[in-house]
Order: sequence, then structure tokens, then C-alpha cells
Amino acid sequence: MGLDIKHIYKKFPMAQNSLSVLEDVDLTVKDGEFVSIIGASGCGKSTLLKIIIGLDKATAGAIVLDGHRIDKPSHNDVGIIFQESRLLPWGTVESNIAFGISDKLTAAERKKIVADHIEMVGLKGFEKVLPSQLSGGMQQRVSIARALINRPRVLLLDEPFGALDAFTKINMQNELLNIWQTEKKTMLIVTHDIDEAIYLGDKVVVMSDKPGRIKDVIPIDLPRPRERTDADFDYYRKKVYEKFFKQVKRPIEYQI
Amino acid sequence: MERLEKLLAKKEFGKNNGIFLPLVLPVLLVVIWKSGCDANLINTSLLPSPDHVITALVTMLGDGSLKKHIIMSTTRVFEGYAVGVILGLLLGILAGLFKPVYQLLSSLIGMFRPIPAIAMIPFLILWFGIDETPKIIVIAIGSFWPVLLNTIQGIKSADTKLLELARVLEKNQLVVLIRIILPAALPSIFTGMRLGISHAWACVVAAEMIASAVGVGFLISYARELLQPDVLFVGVASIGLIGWAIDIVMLRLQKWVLYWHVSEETTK
Repeated sequence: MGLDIKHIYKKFPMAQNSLSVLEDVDLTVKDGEFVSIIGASGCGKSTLLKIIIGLDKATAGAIVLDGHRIDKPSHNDVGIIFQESRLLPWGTVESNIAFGISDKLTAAERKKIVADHIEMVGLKGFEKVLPSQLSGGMQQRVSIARALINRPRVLLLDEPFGALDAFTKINMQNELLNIWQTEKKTMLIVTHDIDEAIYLGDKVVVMSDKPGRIKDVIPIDLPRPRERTDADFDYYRKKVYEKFFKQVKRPIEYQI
Repeated sequence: MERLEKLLAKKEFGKNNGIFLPLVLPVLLVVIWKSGCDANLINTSLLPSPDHVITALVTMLGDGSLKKHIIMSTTRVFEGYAVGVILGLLLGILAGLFKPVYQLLSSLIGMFRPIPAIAMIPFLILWFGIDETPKIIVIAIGSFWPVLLNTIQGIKSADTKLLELARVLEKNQLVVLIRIILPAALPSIFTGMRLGISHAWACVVAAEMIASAVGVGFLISYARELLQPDVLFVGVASIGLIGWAIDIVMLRLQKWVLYWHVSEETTK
């Protein structure tokens, strides 16, 4: 059981030939696992998420969740959080979160579930506030609540904290981990932040670009809660770093 | 100089100049006008002095004639405007949503849009006579174009990222239209409606000047025939004031409906 990404290929037709964006991306995400996908921009990681959620079709390969294929959006299966919060500017926090509800519910059920999710992301007291009056971090909390309200089994995160400042980012990562541990969801995050990938993931999937291929899968064998300043954390940081950048060999005489 | 700076820095001054500054030029204009008349620099048989205009205004308010003309004109404006807005909105939404509808209409839009609504008056009189119908139609045409074009523009401006979100959340087309596309189009629709009402007001005056026995447009063309520049002045001034009042009401309405929308015009 879990999420099977089976030999995904994606080609975009061009004038002459075609542009290969994803090549043989094959990955299994176990139930309740947190997987980080890291790669330079343009490596097709966002395209991969779009294929997983059914917004885009793969040229070849299949997405299988608990034994059945996904080829169109299905709110109980997969939810997504985008880099931009994508809130309706004319809706309050409350109505934006309620907009996430796709199932038919009674008014009382809706009210309760919306209130629960506002509480979960720590926005109590902000129910009637418009998105333009919220900070970037708070807007992203609203979008997290909206994505979770359908109780999807898998949550995809497309560089969710990429636009936030460093401190807000760390806070949001911790809250996301809290939600992950209490809700026991399968999470798949796409990021270009090495620290974020290691801090959050049970494993880090390193992707190469042009075309996007899985270069390496690095299991992160660190106990939680993790400490970014640990030597062990640094070991993984270095390991991921080396996948992207060549180690500069410094002549011995420069080293003191 | 230092005192002036202090005065400008003071909050109270900043608060008051919102009402004070807009009044400076009109008052100055009236003073120049009045002293020009008194000094015989202005031919009062062509431009009457301010006190003559006020006398004419008081008489026209007293016998109810100004009220009659204004009510007639505004009634026509609202009837024609309602027709123009409803048609503009309906066609605009359809053309904005469905490309074939837009393509079907595009050549007609391109050809008819440059024709001023007023230029249609002779035709309309020929077809419908000189009763209310041609006037209402002219006003409807005048307000139709800006509403139509801005509605199309607004519908097309819906954020594709929000539309993608709606697909993820499996929203049906009606929900997408009501919750995303129409609210996104509203600011643009309002711009069209404001332009529309000012066109409508210009059209009613023109239509009444050509064929009518009552209304502000009739009032001014009749006053010219009778060589009553003071009455003419009252008529022209009321056209300006009513147009201004309508725009203020529209701006208030816009601010209320578009509570989330922060634009330069609505923050004024």
C-alpha cells in the first residue's frame, strides 16, 4: 500500500522534436511516509506533482494509490499546497477554508470542520479576516487548512514555504511536522532547499535536471525532532550538497 | 517658509484639505466671473452674471420646471442604462466564457463600437418616431458598449492559478463561475458600469436636444432659441452636477461591493 510512482515519462511536444521533462521517474512512498524531492528549478519536480494529482497526464507510466490508478483530481485521495497560497481575495479566512470542502456536508458539519481546521493551523480569531490583511505565513496556513479539510490520504507540497522569510519558514516546517505526526498523512514535498528536505523527509530524493531523473535516494536516518545544528545533520547536508556541486579541491598549502 | 512647512506637516491641515482644496478653483472662478461682469468686461447678454443665474435657478426651482426636466431625464437614463447594462453583462459573460461566441461577435463589435450612439439618433427616430423609445435605445446603446467590453475583459482576467485550484478541489463549472470568475471580473465590470452611466447621461442630453419636449437637453436647446442665457446656464450646470453626483454614488457602491479590492480609485 502507499503511493506508487511507476516509470513516469513526460514529454512536451515542440516545433521540431519534443522536450523530455521527466524520464523514468520511479518511486514508492509508503503510507504515512514523508518524502522530500529536491532538485534545481526546471528539473520537472512541479510537473511530477501535477501528474500525481491528476492535473497533467504522463506520456508514459502510471500513478497508483493503494492499488488504484489516479488520472484525474480526486479530493479524498490527494491534496496539494502550492507555493502561492492561492486564496480567493474576496473570501475571508473562514470561507477560503470552507472552499476546500468538496464533499456534501450539512451546514453544521461544515461549520464544525472549518472551526477545527482553523484551530489546527493556529488561526483562531482570524476567521473573518481577508487574505490581503494576512502575512505570507498566515496565508499559507489558510491554504494548508484548505488542503487538509478533505482529509486526503496524500498531501503534496510544491515549494510551500519558498516565498517565506527564513524564520517564518522554520516555524511553518515545525507546524507541518506536527500536523504530519498527528494526522498520519503521506506527505511528498518538492523543494530546492537542502536543509528543508533533510529536516522534513524520511528520505530525500535527489533529481537531476534536463531531463528530470531520480539521481539518488538518500534515507535520512535521524531521530525526530531533528536538530539542524547537529553534526549528523551536517553529514546529510554535505551528502546532498555533493550531489549537486563538485567539491572544490583546495591545494594543501592554503589550508591551515 | 518654516511656518508653512509646519502648517503642512500638521495633521489637521491634511485632514481639512480634502474638502478645502477642491473648493478653491470653483470659488476663484465665480469671483473672477462676477468681477468681470461688474467691470463690464463680460457681455452679460451672452454670459449672464452669477446673481442672474441664481435668480433664474430660484425661479425654476420655485415653479417646479427644473425638477420636471431633471426627473424626466434621469428616468430616461435609468431605463436605458438598465437595458444597456443587462445586455452588456449577459453578452459579455457569454463572450468572455465561450471563445466561439466572442469570435462570432468580434466583427460586429469591431464595426459598431466606433459609431457614437448619438449618430444612431436619426435612424432611431426614423424607425421609432419621436416618442420615448428612440431615446431609451440611444441611452441603452451608449451604456452597452463599455459594459460589454469591460465584462469580456474582466471574465478573461480570471487567475489561471485559482482555476487550477478549483480543478484540484473538483468544483463544478457553476461554482467556478460564481466563486472565482465573476468575483474576479467585478472590478472590471464596475469600470464598465461607471463609464456606461456617464455615456448614458451624455446620450440623454443629446437625444433630448434633437427631439423632445421635456428634459434637461430640451431645456438648454429651448433656452438657446429663446435667448435666455441664464436658463441655459442653469441647465448646463445641472447636467454637470448630476453627472458628478451619479459618479460619486457609483464610486461609493463600488467601494462597498468590491470590499476586498484595493485600487487607487476606491481608496480616494
